[in-house]
Amino acid sequence: MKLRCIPRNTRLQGDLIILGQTAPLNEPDLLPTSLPPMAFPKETLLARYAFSQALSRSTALSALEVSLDHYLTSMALLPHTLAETGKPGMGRTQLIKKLGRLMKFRQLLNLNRENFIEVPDFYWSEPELEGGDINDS
Amino acid sequence: MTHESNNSDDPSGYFKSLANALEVKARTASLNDKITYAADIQSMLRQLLTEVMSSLLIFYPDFQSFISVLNALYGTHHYSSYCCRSCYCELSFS
Repeated sequence: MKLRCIPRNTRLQGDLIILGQTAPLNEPDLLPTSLPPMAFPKETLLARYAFSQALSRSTALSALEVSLDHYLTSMALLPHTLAETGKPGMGRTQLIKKLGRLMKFRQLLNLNRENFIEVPDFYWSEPELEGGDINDS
Repeated sequence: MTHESNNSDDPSGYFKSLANALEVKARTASLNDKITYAADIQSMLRQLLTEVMSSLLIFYPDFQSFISVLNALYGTHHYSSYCCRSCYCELSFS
């Protein structure tokens, strides 16, 4: 994904993030008063923040996807073992650990403060940065 | 990335446009589906564990004191170092 800064509206176009003009903030206090030197215009800071947050959410989701794949792979033989022997083929402690890991996955995905379902609170005051219908994501 | 955002011509929607483009919602739903499948197995395993514990309590009504005696005699982890080999409980009944 590329990042380009031109004097048009800020938007996502295909694989390209275009940084341009943005509407004024509803709450200008959100923008820090003292900022370090940066390559892109200060006005695009919160737009970049919004894009970055979506990217970070996707990245965190990728990590969870990989972990769940590993977990499912580790459990892949269980149905076969049950069918063949009538026993899980692993110890009680190991089984309970597996159950705990599954509960952790569900918790990380849906219940944590930074979950993957809810829109971050930040965007309630700045719908411009959130965009779309509130039920979209 | 496989498709353009629905509102790519719209100047607003920075967060959601990228989240939609990265298919966060669909991927989250997919993960939830996988977890739901795994949870089906989980409930079956939980049932197995419950059955094993129930059977132990039938044979050893005073199960807690039985374990306490084992622990007192041989240390905390002794009872898990043997296995009755009739189930997967890792408990000792020699």
